Amino acid sequence: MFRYILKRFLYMFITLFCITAATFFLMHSIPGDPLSYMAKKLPDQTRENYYEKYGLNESVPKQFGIFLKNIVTEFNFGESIRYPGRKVTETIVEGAGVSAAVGFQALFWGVSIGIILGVIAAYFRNRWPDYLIMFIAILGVTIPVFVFASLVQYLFTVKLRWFPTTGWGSWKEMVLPVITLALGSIAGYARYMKSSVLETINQDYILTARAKGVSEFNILRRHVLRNSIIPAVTILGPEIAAVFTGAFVTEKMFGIPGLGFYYVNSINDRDYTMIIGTTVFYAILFVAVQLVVDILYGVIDPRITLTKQE
Amino acid sequence: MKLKKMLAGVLSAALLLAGCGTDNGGNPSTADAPDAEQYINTYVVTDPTSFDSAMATDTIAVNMLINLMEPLLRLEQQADGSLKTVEAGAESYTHSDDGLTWTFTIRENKWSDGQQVTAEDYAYGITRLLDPATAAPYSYLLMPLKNAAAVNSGELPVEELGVKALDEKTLEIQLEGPTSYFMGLLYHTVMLPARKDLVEQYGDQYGTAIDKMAYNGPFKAESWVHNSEIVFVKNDQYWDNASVKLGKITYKVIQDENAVYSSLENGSIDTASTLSKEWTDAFSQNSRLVHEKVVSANTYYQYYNQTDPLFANANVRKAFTLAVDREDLNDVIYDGMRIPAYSMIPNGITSGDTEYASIAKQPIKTLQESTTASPKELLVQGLTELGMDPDPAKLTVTLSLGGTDQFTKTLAEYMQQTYKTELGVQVQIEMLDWGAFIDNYYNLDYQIGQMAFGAEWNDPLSMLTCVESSQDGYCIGWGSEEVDALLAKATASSDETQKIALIEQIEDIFLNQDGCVCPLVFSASDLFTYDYVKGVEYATFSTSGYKYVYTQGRK
Repeated sequence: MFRYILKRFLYMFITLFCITAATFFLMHSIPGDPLSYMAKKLPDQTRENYYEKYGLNESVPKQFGIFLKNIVTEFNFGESIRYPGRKVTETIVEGAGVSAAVGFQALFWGVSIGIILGVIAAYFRNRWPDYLIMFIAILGVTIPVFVFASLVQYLFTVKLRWFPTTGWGSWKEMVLPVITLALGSIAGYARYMKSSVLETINQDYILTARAKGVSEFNILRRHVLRNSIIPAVTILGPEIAAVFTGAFVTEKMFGIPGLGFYYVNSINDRDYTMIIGTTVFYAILFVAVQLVVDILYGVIDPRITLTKQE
Repeated sequence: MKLKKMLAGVLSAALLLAGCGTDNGGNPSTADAPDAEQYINTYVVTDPTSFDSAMATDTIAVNMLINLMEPLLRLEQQADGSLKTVEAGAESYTHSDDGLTWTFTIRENKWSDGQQVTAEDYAYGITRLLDPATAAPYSYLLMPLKNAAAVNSGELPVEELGVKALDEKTLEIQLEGPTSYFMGLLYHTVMLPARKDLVEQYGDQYGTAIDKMAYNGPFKAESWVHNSEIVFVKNDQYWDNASVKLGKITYKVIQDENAVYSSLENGSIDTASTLSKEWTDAFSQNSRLVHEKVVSANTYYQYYNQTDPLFANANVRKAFTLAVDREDLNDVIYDGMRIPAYSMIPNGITSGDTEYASIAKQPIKTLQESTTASPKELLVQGLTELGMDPDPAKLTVTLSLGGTDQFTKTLAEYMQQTYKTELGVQVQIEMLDWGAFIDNYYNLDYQIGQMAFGAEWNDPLSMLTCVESSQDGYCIGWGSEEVDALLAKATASSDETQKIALIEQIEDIFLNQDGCVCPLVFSASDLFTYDYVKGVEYATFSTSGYKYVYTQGRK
């Protein structure tokens, strides 16, 4: 097990290096530069001074070398070019914290409600609770986030005026974005759980358990849930990673100062340092979560082994 | 004012101007006296880049700096609506007869931390912008200053720049040559003061966080939660704080249009600006909202690459210019919300105290009136002159646009249809992401393109100085010695009437005779403000900001 984790860590670093290098060279190869937003032909001198200040006058491989050195020696991703004075790492920590505050609540409600609804739908297969839950789930999957967010926003902030439209700081400002974000998760988990539970309850061992006289609740708790939760755990991993990186549309609509903004806008602004910082951050989260999920499989289902058996 | 992504109808332009605005004359107030608690809630679509005047180039930061800092002069709207330049940071000023030496007496004023504002602060703020180490994107605006170019390229030390503090209260600025538009720069952010001690203490961090800077304007920044909310409060140290009525300004950062309008509807912001007819109609129904059409100094235009074999010909260019019906474009594409443009110089720009557009000739109208041939005939004539196949049907041209959204697509299709009908040519559309689009533009790698050009400072010349042949600031591969000479003359002119006549001549050559670019529409937005907000100035270049704003009758 220890060797396995060590090996995975090694792979993780190789993956991260490849992602970093690919992003770095790709982003420098797209046309335009951080001054593009000026939308005007600047005098060569102005451009030269600017390039020199941000080290953009060096060749791209050399810039990459400097960049790597700063990361390895002091874990320094530099400063945003578009927003001078904003350290990339600080911005990521700040933004990811905000995104996570909303995202985890949404994920918590989404997973809990989704799993419960999925189990109910499976147990009441082809009866009205199943139809109702699947109707909600399909709505949740098909309604685009911005439509649902607009509806929620209009209803609760303009018509009823229960909550503020945008802003950040109090619990009131979190309610609507959490509802918006949770809807998708509820729908997703309900559907996964339903099909997974359906598969499990038709297994022979459930029949055996029933024949042995195990109570319905214990069958559900000890046999059904445990065996049908694996698909849910699989999708949970990347979703946890995504929680930190923020939901661009929802954050934009409710004015949440999360990280989603930087993922989209740094590319449009050609904010090189921010692009690479946010990408590496997501990559780290993603590979780390993958590792955790793989280890969790073994915990949930002892039949899954991570290392080849000798 | 410069904007990020000026393209696509200058979507953001008007939104960003939400902070500027006029007296709500005619609206009866619900109370007789100003409200006891004076505050205003407004919004911006994104964070300002920095409060450091050397690095702030986005409209949001520029509009905020007007409130935080005291320029030497301000342009203020008078009771009758006209604009007047008034002394602000400078208490008085004189200039030599040749217009080369300007002397300012700095007013008794304090920074928000209690320090005295000195002539040295202004001199340092200006010098810092031209210091190559600062790498200020707007440094080129200060080129009229003596030795500016040499200092900016590092050939001369910064001490050689023609800006000096003669003593504690006297600032002297020397110019390279007489510059008629210099007044327009005096209330621009490039001439704002900076605190040397703080810049040295914070380095590049100066102005990037609210506590890493000091303010000498009507307000000071109190808090800034990135991408969420910025709060300004009244600056008690400000010399004219008796005129400042607002105690607090809250800028919410709201990127989403619908969220902006919901916020206006439920009163969480006091003002909002829209570019869409749908929302304009909806808000017009609300009797508590005062509607004002605000012109922003941006011209949306089309331009032709003259290094391209086809568009090297003036008749071909004119044919493409004449084929467009600007009124129809405005109605179909912009729901009639913009202003059809027949000149590159947008409404609202003044020369002296006169609005240029209200008195000057409109070169595209001249072109339309003087051309007897149809656009198609003109195109055929041009093709013959070039020795090309004179059949327009066999011609395919590429129109480049910077943007990949639905609006840009509709606009492109409109142009495609127009040229198909009017000229019989095939138009290929190239829609690129902004960075790629602008790269092709700089490198003259396009045939026809469209984007917006914004005036950086208040003077008709701000739209034209860059046509000078060594700069080719419009990136069209064109230059004319005649225009260069006229530009030099207009820049040096001290007589307003003569200057306007010269600008008319430049525009005539640029747009009518040579058909270099094709103005389409001037940007304008519809600003809605609750009727309890008073004292707002709506003029495009007014720099009073929130200084005189107050509320009366807020519920």
